[in-house]
Amino acid sequence: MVAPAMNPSHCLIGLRMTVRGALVGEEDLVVEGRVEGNITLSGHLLIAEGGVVESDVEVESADIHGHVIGDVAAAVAITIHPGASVHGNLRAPRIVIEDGAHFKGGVDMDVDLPEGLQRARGR
Amino acid sequence: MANTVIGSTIVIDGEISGDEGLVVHGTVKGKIDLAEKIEVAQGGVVEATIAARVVTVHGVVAGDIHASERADLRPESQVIGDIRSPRVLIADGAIFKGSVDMGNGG
Amino acid sequence: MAAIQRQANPKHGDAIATVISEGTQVVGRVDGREDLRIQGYVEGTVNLSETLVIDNGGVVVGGVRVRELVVHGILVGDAVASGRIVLHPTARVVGDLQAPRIVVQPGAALRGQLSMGETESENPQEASGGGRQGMGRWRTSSRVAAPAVAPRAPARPVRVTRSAAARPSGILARRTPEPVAEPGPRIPPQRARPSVRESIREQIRERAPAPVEVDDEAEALEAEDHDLDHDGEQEALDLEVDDGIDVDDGTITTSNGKKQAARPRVPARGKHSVEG
Repeated sequence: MVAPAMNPSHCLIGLRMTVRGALVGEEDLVVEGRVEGNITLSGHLLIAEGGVVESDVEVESADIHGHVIGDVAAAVAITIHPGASVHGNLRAPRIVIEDGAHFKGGVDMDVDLPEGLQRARGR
Repeated sequence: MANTVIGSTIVIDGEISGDEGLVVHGTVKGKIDLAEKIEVAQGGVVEATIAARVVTVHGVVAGDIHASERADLRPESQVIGDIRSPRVLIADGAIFKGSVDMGNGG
Repeated sequence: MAAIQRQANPKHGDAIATVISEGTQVVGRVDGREDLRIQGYVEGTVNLSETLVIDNGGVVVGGVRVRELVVHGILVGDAVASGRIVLHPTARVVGDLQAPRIVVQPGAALRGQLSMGETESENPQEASGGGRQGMGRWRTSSRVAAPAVAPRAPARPVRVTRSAAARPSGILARRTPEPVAEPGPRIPPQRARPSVRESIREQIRERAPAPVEVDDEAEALEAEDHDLDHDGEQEALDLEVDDGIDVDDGTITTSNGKKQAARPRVPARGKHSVEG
């Protein structure tokens, strides 16, 4: 379901556009501009280079090239690409932080530790 | 042309501002403030006050429209609210309820 | 002493000369000024001025402070690198990571706080590789820096087990139940803390009165003071550690094979208690 061709009506917040407020949807979204409000999508979120999201994000999957201040939760995967800057907590089964990305915050994936090590750290 | 597209399943509750074009296939509630054109596509729903240069409506708008250049209500469109614009076009088949002020273009 | 091999043979290809191999357990502190590859099990802290590689199958439980950290295996504990941390696809990490550059490759699993881009100049003490800043259960080494503290307990037998079968039970058996209340699932980790460094300091303070060791209390309290003047201590220590790797549970040395005076084995060694 991460396929970008899922929905032909390609949703885009353009470069010089600002959205303040909640954004809810069931399709893919590309942010080139600025969103200051929670994003909840059952689709893929692409924050393009230069795009800014200052809010919490809950999506199926996310590719971040731009700037995010807020928590990002994804049902499938989060990828932080080189040049991106993310301050916040990440939660997803699969999280990739590429070399050259800047990230500060918590990361929460399912860590499958062998028995015996699980209690080694009470987290 | 239109750089920003709000897809058909997207709901935005808040404010959209910018200086480029906007096409709404989905739902926007709140306020839209643009220096450019806005097109409310067929199926699109805007429950917001709209301020833009050109406003073109194929879908539904509940709210006041202030178009500094032109307001264009196409057939099939439904608009409930006041329109203020130097040029107002209401096509045959459009549903409109509200007042029109073509005063000085505001 | 085959447990810790020095693979001087360059035909092994990579620069990693010292290997803690599969089936080997080390409990205690590992310090070094050369690259180290862990394929076995290390419980305690690892301080290196060079690169630490935790291979797939290798396990480190405890704090890591290195120049560069490469993880293919399992790390349970916090890591600070002055250079880079790379988690490869098979990595499993639970702990906080701090480094100027951190890379998490697809498939790597991680739970913890990440802090990137903080330059070492902000934390001068960390600049010297293998800096003996407190990570986890690290303590000031009284053997060099504070000879005046309470006399050591008698030496303990070698803490290297080669039996792989003994490993799981070993892990479980050594571990005393955590007295700290589980804080519940952290999803995602929310605590906003000023810096890893500060929290380490806090941990040291918190742990100071813990009934860990007879002579530990004094040491732990001292640890804070020593935080600030590591350089002298480090120098002194370097004189003694004449070879690359020094496993300080008192018993294993690669250099001269000499059995050092051991401190008593602590059941909780290497354990990271939960903050908050």
